[in-house]
Amino acid sequence: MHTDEGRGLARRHVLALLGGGILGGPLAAPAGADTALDVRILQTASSLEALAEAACARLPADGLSGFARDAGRRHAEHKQAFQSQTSTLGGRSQDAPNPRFLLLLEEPDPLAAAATIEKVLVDTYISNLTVAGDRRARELLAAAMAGAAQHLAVFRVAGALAAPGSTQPLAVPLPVADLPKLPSTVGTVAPPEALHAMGGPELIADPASGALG
Amino acid sequence: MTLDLSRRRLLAAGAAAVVAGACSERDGGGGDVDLDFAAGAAGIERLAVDHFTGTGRLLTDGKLGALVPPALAALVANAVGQHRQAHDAWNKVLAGAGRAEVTASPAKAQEALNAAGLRVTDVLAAAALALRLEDYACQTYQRALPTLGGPETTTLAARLNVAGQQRQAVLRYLLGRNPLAGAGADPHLRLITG
Repeated sequence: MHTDEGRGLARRHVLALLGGGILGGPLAAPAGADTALDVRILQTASSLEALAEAACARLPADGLSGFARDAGRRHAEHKQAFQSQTSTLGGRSQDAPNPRFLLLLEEPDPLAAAATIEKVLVDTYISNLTVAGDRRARELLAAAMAGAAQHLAVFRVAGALAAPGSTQPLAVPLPVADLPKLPSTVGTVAPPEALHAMGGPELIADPASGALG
Repeated sequence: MTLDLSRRRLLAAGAAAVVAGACSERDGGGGDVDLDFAAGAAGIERLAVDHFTGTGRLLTDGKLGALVPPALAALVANAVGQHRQAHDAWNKVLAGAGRAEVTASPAKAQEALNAAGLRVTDVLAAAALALRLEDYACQTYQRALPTLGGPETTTLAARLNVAGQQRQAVLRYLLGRNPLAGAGADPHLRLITG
C-alpha cells in the first residue's frame, strides 16, 4: 500500500464521523475538508496546550515548582507553534483551554490532574498523527507529544515520591548525592510499559473539541 | 473526575483512536517506507536490549562500584524487557509483511557504543551512556513520525517514542539534570558518535 493511503483512509473515516456521520459514508467528505480537519486538529492541540499550561500553574510551590514553570513555558511555546500553523492553513487561532477537560483544573490534587492532562495530550497527539494531512502539523504534533511524555514521566516520579511510605522528598533537579536514597519504584514508574498504553476515548480530545466554528 | 460524555461526543472522541486499528485491519500496514523504517527500528531496539543487558550485568557484578542505586538498577532491568518487547513488535510488523526479521544491531552504532562503553567506570557514566542511547532511539522515531504513512506503523512508532521519552526524562532526573530535553535539540543523530 502507498504510504499516504493509510492516512487517507484514516482521514476520510474521521471526517465522516465528524461531519456527515456514518450515513454520509467515508467518501462523502466535502472539498476542502482535508485542510478543515487539519485546522481543527491544530486548534484542538492549541486548546490542550493552554489547558496543560494552566495545570502547571496550579502545581504547589515545592520541589517541583521550578520544573512546573519550565513545563508551563514549553506548553506555551507549543501552543504558539500550533497557533502559527493554524494561521498558515487559514484558520483562526485557538487560545482558550479545551472545554471538554476544563473540569480537571478543579481537581483537588493538582499533581494527579496535571498527570492526567499530560496523558490526554500524549494520547490525542498519537491519534492525530495518523490522520493529520499537513506535514508541518504532524511535525508539531510529534514534538509536542514528546514534550508531554517527558512531563508525564516527571509527574509520575513525583507521584511515586509523594506516595504513602515514601521518605525521600521530591527535588527537581535531584541532588546527585540523593540518587542512592531513591526507591526502586522511581526507576520503573515511567514508562510503566514498553508500548505507551493508550487511554479510552474519554481521555482523547476529538478534533472538534477545541475547534473554533 | 466524572466526565460527562454524550453518546455523540463519545463517538467523535473515539474516532481518531479507533481509526488506526480499523485501517490496519483493512490494509495491513504501510508501504516500503514504513517497512524500511521498521527494519531500522528493530535494529536499534536490538542494540538497546543488548546494551541494557550488558549494563545490568556490570551493575550486578559490582564492576561500576559496590553501591548500586536501586532506582537506576530497576530502570535498567525494566529497560531490557521493554526494549525486547519493542524489538519483537517491529519484527512482527516485518514478518506480517513477508520481510525477514531483524536480529542484529546496526554494526556502526554497535561499534561506537562499544567504544563509548569502554570509558564507563561508574554508575553515573553508565546512566549517561544509557541516556545517549535512549536519545538516539527517540530522535530516530521523532524524525520518522511525520513521514510514516501507515496508521499501524505510525501508532507503534509513536507509542514507543512516548515510552522512550519517559525513560530519557527519568534518566536525566537520576543524573541530577533537568528532566526535559533541551529545546531546539540537535535534530541530527549524533548520540552514538558524539
